[in-house]
Amino acid sequence: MDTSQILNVFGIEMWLGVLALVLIVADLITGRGRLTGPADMVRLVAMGGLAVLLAYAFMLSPAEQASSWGTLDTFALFFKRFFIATALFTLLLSAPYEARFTGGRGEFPALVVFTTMGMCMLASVSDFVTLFVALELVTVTLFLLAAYRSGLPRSIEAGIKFVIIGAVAAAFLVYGIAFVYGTTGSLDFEGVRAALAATDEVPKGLTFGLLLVVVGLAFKLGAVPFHIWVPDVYQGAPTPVTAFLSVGSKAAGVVLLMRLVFTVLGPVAGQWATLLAGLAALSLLMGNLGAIPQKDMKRFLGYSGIAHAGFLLIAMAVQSEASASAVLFYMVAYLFANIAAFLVVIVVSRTPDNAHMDRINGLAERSPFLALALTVSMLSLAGVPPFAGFVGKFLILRAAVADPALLPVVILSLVMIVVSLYYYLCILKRMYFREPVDTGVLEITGSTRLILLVCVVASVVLGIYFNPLVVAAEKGAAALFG
Amino acid sequence: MPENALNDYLPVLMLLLFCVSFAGINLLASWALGKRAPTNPDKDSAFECGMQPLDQGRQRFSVRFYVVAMLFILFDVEVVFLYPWAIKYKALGMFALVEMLVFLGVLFIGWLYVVKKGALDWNTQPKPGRLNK
Repeated sequence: MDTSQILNVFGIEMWLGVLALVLIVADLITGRGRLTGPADMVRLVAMGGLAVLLAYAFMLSPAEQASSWGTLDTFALFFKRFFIATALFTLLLSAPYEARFTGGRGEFPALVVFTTMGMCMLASVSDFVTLFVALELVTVTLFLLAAYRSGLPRSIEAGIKFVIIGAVAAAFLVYGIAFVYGTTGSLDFEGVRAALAATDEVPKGLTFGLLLVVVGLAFKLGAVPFHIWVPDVYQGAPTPVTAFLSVGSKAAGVVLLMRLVFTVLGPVAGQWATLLAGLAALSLLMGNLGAIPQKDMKRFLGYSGIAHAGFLLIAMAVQSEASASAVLFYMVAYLFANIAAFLVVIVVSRTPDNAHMDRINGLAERSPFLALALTVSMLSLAGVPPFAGFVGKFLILRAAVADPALLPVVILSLVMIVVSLYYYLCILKRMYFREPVDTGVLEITGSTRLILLVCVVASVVLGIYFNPLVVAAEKGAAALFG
Repeated sequence: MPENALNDYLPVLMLLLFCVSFAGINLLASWALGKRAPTNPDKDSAFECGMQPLDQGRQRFSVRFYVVAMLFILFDVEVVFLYPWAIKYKALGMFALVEMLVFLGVLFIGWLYVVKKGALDWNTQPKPGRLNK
């Protein structure tokens, strides 16, 4: 039996599963449905476990040969570290938010860990069946997390919308996989790649199947025209979950799309570039123009996320090693900027419990530190030079200009960066030049300060001293082209 | 190749046509040939077609039925995995035994969760953090 092979590839996932079960049992023993006290301990156990696993993921070296179960290459490892770090940030974010979970909070860390397990599996998948199983593990737990505040109608609404859209996306994906299997007789990424490379004339059924798979993944990524769920679900879900969705779920789409586009579609890359560039252009237009009139911080960040999906899709359309590594860098920059933004939203939206944009008016007077953190986050998302977001955008565009066919999309993206500057700067204007609407004292705990400090420092340092991460990203991306 | 594959389904198509035309011709014939008698309540009643309806079809009933039904399906489906294992127990050996114990362990934690959260309590007062609210 090849148990050792499975554990070799999916060791981290196994430990994540064990951790989640331990959390459930710990909640049952200590919590007994109570709302305060021991639940904090469950969260601390979860964070401790994730921290240990993060360290483990950093010590792990990539497996030499790929097994039939999955691959543990540098690319998979890069994203496994990314996902575990995101989950750790999500649990840290949930600390100041937990009081709002009125229906019990013990399951929250366990669900986050289960989702992370699925995401880490996604990083290593090498066949379509494992892909589907892992993706469903991620999606189903995220449905529950989106509807976690079951006493709140808009949270339930977010959950139900997410379920319906998720079911549609899964249907696309499975139908596509059926076509791929029907035409190639293989569910392996390698087998499909070989089938594509073998013929000059790709069977129509295979192209159709792969197209459906790409559509299914585009839902996850939140790319236009499959973005319609993003603002509603982002607004309705509990804010830590929104942060997790915006970073983790998007990265899950990115990691799958990269594997698909760069390895499976490798032999027919040219045919797919136009489609991906088209999706990128639509996402850039819709995301950036849609963000301008938003009056809710979470909706606003949702549209901004759609715009960023557009940027990531440009890199996929380029299909060079440089663009692949640029995506990895971009995701890390996006992680730090988004986590900081959502944490500020959590702190300012405490009472009354909504994230209307007026709530950040005059934030600079009420808490200069929060205002500074949100400023850095917005500037990094906008791609202003001394911050990490700039380097990410720069790397993607540098890779994109190498391909003359993509010039129209590159020009569009440059115009859209200017548009995005407008609405990100509107946030700064609200913080620094408007009178505060709320006057209550903001409750900023030590852990909030710490996360914001980490995000700000990371955004600045990665913007100036970006070389180590660029090298790591290049190493991660190289595995795709190996 | 595709023509041959579809040829196999020709009888199905013929049967389908036969069914539709049989029902259609009968309905048409009774409409064209039958006498029109004035309707009455006895004529409209469900004759040998089940019980007289007592109430509206859409009734509200406790959400606990859904929870129990869902849990039943969950555990029922999981038990399905035990049968092939039991039949092939000798051939699969030690590896499958350990695997099955791990599987049952996970299942047991799930069952523990269900019981502790009160999903199976039928007559409890609502408690915060429990399912029955």
